[in-house]
Amino acid sequence: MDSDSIAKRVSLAKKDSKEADRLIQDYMPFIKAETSKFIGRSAGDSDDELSIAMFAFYEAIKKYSILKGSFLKFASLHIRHRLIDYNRREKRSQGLVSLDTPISEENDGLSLADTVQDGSDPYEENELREATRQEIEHLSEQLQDFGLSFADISDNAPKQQRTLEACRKAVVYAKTHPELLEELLRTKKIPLGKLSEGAGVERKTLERHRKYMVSILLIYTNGYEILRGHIMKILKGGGNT
Amino acid sequence: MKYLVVECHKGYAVLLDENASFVNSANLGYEVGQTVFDPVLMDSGKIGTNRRIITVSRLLAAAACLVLVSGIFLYRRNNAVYSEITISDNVCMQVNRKGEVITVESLNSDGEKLLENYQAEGKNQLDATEEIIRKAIETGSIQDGDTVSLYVDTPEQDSFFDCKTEFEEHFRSKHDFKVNVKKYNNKNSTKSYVSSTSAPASQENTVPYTPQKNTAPPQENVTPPQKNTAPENTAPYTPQENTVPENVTPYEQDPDINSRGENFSDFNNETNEKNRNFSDSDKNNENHSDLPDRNENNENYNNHDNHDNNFSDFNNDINENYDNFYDSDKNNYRENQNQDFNQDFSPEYQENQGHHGGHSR
Repeated sequence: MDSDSIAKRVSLAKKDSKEADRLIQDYMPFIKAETSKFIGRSAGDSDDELSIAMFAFYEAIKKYSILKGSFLKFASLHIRHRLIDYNRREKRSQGLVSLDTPISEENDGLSLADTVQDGSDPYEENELREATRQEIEHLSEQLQDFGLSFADISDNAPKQQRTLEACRKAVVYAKTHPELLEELLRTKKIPLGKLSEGAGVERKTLERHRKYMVSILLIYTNGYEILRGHIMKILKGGGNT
Repeated sequence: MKYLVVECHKGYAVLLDENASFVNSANLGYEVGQTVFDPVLMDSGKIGTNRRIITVSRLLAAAACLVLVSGIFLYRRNNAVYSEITISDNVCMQVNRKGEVITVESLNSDGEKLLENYQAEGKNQLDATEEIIRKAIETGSIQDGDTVSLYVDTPEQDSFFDCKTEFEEHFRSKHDFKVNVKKYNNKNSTKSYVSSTSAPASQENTVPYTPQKNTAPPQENVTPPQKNTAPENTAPYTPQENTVPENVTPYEQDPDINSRGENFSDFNNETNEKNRNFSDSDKNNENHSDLPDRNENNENYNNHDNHDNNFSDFNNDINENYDNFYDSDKNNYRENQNQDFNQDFSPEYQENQGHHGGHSR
């Protein structure tokens, strides 16, 4: 595949998460080869380094431009940098013993985690996780009605604290005015004018992060208690980044 | 910070943090709904910061380089020696591009006296020169009405002419002395000059002529006159009285280029080759007053230091004459345009011409 076609595919993958997935799948041999080169052995599917390399490949897709030269060279550099960072991070936690370490050499399935006393109930945790998963799936379906996916929302989400704060103010205003949320569900459109006027936030800011605003406002409609509970900090006046 | 895994892809996962921010991370075997605590996040924010730092660093580095280069440029402009001006062989001033004096040094004991308790650094070259000359007048080194020679050494020809014009214009209004600006080519050679004012040159200011090593070519190299050309007993050119001082042959001792940029020395050498009369004239010192043109040219010659054009004209006259004299038709000097010149030779020559049937035009 020549460099021009790769560049075209990369530019498509920037906007379309499915195309990005396809590109990663097509270039798995390349990603595996780069990982193996770094770790000095053949990279398996279960290796964290391979996951890091795939993530680095996805990052390269997002950051690539033709001015940076060949995409594969750019991606190769990016993969290497990511693996180096991951290596350093892992070295910091060296000396720590994993809770998954088996207790005995016999393959009886018992690990250190089983011996540690913990107040939490694993069954509860599993149930909580399952419920969370269902809420997220439901939200994902609702977002599809708006023509959105979580990948699109993550690209559109505000990165600066100042902008995040402005969006938080708009969400707090919408929470105290449920009619705005109803309008959102009914019209499938955000009432940006009323929100910006009521919350005292620039309309341009809300427009720039429209996709993100849709997802957060949807979370504040009925049925998403777990997700609302997760982002309670935003209602308490912002949190740590 | 807790992160909720909301979406999983092949190469990455989308997480929702407690600040209601959606972020991308590496998918280390995550499942939707899982809570993670230490994900490998995409460096979007961090890289922006680094990029800003790198950009600012680069801008600062570029600004620092610019300041350094400007500083070096200004230092060279203000402190680097651009030209040197030597005043009558007594004092030498080093001047920067702006015409400001950087250093001044004495070249002899007279110079030392002139520079006693005198600071020229930072002054304009014209002011400093005038002050030094006035001090020389006060001490008696220079008399009223004398001509002071200024030898200017510049890297470029154009800058020499600019400097010469500047000095001449500045000192034109001064009535108690005159200046003669010349180009200084060779620091090791002794400079010399010819007094060029109406007032007689003071002996104290005359630099004795020291013949240079590479002036007139040896006689062996002179093309001997061809047949029927200038006879050996031709009356030599003699300057008038009170013109060129003895032992001074301006042609030879002045290798400078005149104000028209003509290569004087080559011209002079050529003229000397052809005009043995001219070089002989100084030695014989015969009055050649029968040659009105020549007399006129003598005056021009005497004034040549002040009026280079005249000197060049004189030379051109000579050259013209001798071009005719050593015409391509060398066998027939009857082609000589300046019959008067030929006829003004010695009677012996004229007599000889008569024996050969004379020459007619």
